[in-house]
Amino acid sequence: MLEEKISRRTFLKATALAVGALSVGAVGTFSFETWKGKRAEAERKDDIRVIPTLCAACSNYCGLNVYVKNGRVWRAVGLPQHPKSKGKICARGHGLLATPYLRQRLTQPLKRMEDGSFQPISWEQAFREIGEKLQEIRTKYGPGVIAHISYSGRKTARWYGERLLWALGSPNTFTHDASCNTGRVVGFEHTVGGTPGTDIANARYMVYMGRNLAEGITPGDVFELAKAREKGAQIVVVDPRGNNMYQMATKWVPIRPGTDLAFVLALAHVLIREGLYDAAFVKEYGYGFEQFAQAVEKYTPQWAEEITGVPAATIEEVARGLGKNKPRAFIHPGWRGPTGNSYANSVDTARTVALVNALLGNYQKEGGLIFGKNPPFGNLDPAKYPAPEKPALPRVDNEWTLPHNVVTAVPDKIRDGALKAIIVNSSNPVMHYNNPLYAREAYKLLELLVVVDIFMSETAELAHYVLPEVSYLERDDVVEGIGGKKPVVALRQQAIGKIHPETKASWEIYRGIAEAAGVGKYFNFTIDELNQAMLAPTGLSLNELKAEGTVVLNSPLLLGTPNFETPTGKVEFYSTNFKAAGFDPIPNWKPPLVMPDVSKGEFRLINGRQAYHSHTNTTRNPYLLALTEHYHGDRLWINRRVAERMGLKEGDWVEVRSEAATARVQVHLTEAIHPEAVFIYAPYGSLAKDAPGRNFAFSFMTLLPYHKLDPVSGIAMTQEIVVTLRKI
Amino acid sequence: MNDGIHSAKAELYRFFAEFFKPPEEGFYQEITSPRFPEELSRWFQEAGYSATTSAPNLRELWSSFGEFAEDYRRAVSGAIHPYAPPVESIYKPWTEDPGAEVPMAGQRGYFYGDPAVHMRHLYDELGITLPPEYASIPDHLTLELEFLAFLFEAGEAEAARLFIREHLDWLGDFRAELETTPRGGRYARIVAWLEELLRQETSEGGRKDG
Ligand code: SF4
Repeated sequence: MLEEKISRRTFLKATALAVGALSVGAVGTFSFETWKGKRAEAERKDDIRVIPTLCAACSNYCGLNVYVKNGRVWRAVGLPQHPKSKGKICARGHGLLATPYLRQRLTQPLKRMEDGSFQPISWEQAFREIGEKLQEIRTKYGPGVIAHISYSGRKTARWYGERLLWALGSPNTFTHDASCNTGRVVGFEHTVGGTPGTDIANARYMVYMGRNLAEGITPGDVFELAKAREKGAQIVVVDPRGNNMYQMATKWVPIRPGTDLAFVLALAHVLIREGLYDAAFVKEYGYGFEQFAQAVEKYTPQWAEEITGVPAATIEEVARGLGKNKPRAFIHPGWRGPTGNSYANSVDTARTVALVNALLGNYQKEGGLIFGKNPPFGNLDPAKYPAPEKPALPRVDNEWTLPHNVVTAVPDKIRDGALKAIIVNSSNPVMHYNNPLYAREAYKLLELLVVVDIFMSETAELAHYVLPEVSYLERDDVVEGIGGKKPVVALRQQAIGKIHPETKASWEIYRGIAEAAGVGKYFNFTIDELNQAMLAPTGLSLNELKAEGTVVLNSPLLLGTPNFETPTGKVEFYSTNFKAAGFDPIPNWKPPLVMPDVSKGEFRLINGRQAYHSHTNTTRNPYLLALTEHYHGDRLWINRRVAERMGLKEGDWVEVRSEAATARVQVHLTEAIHPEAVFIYAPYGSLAKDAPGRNFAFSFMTLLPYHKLDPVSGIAMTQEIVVTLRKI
Repeated sequence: MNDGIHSAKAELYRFFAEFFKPPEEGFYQEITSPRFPEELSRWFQEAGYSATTSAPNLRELWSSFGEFAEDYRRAVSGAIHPYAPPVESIYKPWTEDPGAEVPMAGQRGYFYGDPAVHMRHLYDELGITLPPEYASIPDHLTLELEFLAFLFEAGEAEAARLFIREHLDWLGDFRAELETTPRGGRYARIVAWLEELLRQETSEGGRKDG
């Protein structure tokens, strides 16, 4: 009886030999210990496969050669031809190699039950129920209540998500950008038509305002910076914090946080006043320069000194440094810092940065700012693969006309009833885009929340369905294009077999949902077919790309003549789009939303990227968290003099209080921070139940008051936080 | 005589393997039937093992199939976290390969470590196939116990004992994890029971297979 039952379910099957003929003696490496000892011998026989693919630990998506031995990741090195990695990977890229093997991974589709617990279900059931629910919601409220949110760097999620939403009739696709660099994107797009790259290696004078190449790392840029430095370039870091880039810099300008706009307006003032700007460039390519010049007349260095705390003489020195070295000089456009999403004046800071660069005449010049050349990509043949039409419905966030999408508005749109169903992929909107407690309450109101992820994130915890994806080393993705002096195509491809059998790649997940939701006809292709179609105009075959991983196309960009994709085709010192949207067409001074009252012991809480973490993407990684522990990377930076006046010593615990919440943290005393600010690295203080990151410090987002969003760009203004400290 | 002992041992280890597979009601009914304890002790005798002190009363341990299935789902399946993976690699250094330049080399707590690679090597060498869903977890406890059963069936008792010493020496760590995992307590008792049996097998005096 017993025998019969048990034998019936035997998983292992002896194939070649009858069971009785198992010949253990013939296996010289039957013993685990012997096998380990003979590894070196076995290795020579082993064919180690080298698979070129892409890292996924940050948006650089550096090219990697992954060495696979015995079916496992064995080492990885940067691909020399990839413009972001230039042959090297960073600590995060190295640490992330553990991802496929982490025990915290999601392994099976989950459904949230009425009591809040999760029940594992089959993919068939997950697809069927999600498909039915989407159809039901669409019928009941119309398609516009369905949205899709993804990390903008994740092209596969964006491409498939948009196709699915369009097939369902909704235009409401969101990316994470409003939590990151939307301020910069809006500022640059409506001033010079887009955000250019920087020709670091050939520059002679560079200003980095809150852009920290040593921690918001792009390995290729760091090499270029080192090269430029060797050639004698001046590198000025303008930051309330003497960040790690200081080691490569020639000057640190500590600035009162939130006042970068005043600093750049004064730079413009000096460049114009002293005739240090490129008048010919401005004449040929500028629109509305006179109004701008008139506006900045009042923004003298003395005026800016009052606001920024930076001596007028320093402002003049930097302006002259830029002016004298033009066009091999630039202010970096920034990323997430003062131009990206931090302040009420971030967008205007970005616009002014774009304009100061125009005063330097550095667009499309060696050592200046360069709009790169992108690879020409094709698309699927609609005759064979029917494509959904772009829906005519207005977007739910259409009160913002200047940014492309405003993901930070989603919680309010849910509360208003404008959104009822959301599919989230490779993104954690509950934690990162608004105050998480505020966001969490909103996301709970959805009738359908589907989360595609590899971990149980704060957002996944609220989902009705959690769909486990394979990790970046276990999947193929949509082909990537990288713009630059030469266009580059790159591919993430599967390097190792699936660790967990019940996980799927995104493209399969979208197809499954689409079929179940009745729009499967728009997904009648494989990812290989899609990639082939995209590659067609480049003349590269998918097999060629798979063999190389990253291919630099030999069609170099011609420098010299810039093409500004603005309504006037010019650099808009006077922005026609801003005017049309009802905003000041000229970037004028605008203070930040809040200011700490130093006399009351208040500080501004600022945050930034840490060299060995990328948000909650990496705080599940024991190796990278060990670095945090080793370096006390989760301490709150405070100016040493201020701290000592408060009776604080290194490592003391304090309570940090904002109007939204309180948190506990240890302090790090340093001269390298402005006395009116305290600083925390961004990735810590997870709220998810099983996230190790919750044991580290706190997330600045939890202290963020739920301000109104920036009316221009929709950014959440994540450094508009005033806090007080109390020793505990 | 030895054949009988070996096939009884093989069946016993397959019985233990069954606990770590997606639960089936038939198995549950079987092991909680009134006559099961008697059958089991006959099995023990045939295998040459003495009675185990840690053997739980399975009928009392799991009062329903639902309870049993829920324990499996919560404590060992990996679908719900936290859980205690019934996988050897998790409890051993990921690799001792000096050439490996990966952060998890030498660390514990990761899937598909050296134990898994060696298990796959053994399956390949011995012409054994495993189900595709276990392709990357060849060191799952259920497979290791089935492999042990194969060894006994093939009359490879010495090899079986070597295998226990080298590949089933992590059960104590697994049990400790189960003990701190929600709904893991009952599974911990099954593991303790299995450990006792394996100790009998590997201790000189305890085994009778010639
Ligand atoms: S910079 Fe580092 S983390 Fe980012 S893609 Fe490159 S190697 Fe990966």
